[in-house]
Amino acid sequence: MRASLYRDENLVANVDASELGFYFNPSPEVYNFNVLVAMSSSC
Amino acid sequence: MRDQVDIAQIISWNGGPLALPSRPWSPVHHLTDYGESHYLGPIKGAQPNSQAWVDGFPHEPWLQLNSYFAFAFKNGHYPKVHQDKIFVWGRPHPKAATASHDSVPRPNNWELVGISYVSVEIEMRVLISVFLLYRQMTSFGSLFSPLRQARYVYHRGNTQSHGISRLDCPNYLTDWNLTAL
Repeated sequence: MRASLYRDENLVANVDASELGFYFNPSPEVYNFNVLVAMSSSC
Repeated sequence: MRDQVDIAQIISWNGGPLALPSRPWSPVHHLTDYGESHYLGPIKGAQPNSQAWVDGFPHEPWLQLNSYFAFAFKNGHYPKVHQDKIFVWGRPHPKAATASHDSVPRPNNWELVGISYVSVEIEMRVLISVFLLYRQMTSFGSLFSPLRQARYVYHRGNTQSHGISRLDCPNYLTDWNLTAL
């Protein structure tokens, strides 16, 4: 789960939830209906 | 009991014009309940054996998001945003996934995820929400520099499953929800 925000082709914000250990698993071993929340860092 | 996190509060914050009168305080209706994935602050203290679905799933960025709306409720207008920020949140698996080694079944009302809480995603199987706060530009005599492109890419393993771009962002903020099958 990644997101990037550009202004006039300049990257101004970016967040990569995988850096927090987020991993989307379509076939989980156990249920987890929680969410992981992440916020971008400055570029 | 395992339950979905109540993100209705987050989504509804951006649901319409700010109509509340300004007031010197802003209540946050929130009860920290790790057992039901309801928490905003750092994960610490005793948990009701909820470590399996709480540990590693921080919610602190919602505190910053909350401060943005708290200001608006207190003052009757949104605060100026000085730095572009992206907030994302997502679930680790599709809501209808069948866990292969879980002795506990899905929580009651699991199917309501994405129906009663996020009305725009009736068929949603997993929620991924991206929320942007973007700053107003006042330099060079222009009111603001519009967002030329905002995109987010969702990866499932090594495969890109969704991407989106949008150009209009009212009230200096926008949010998207998308479906990842």
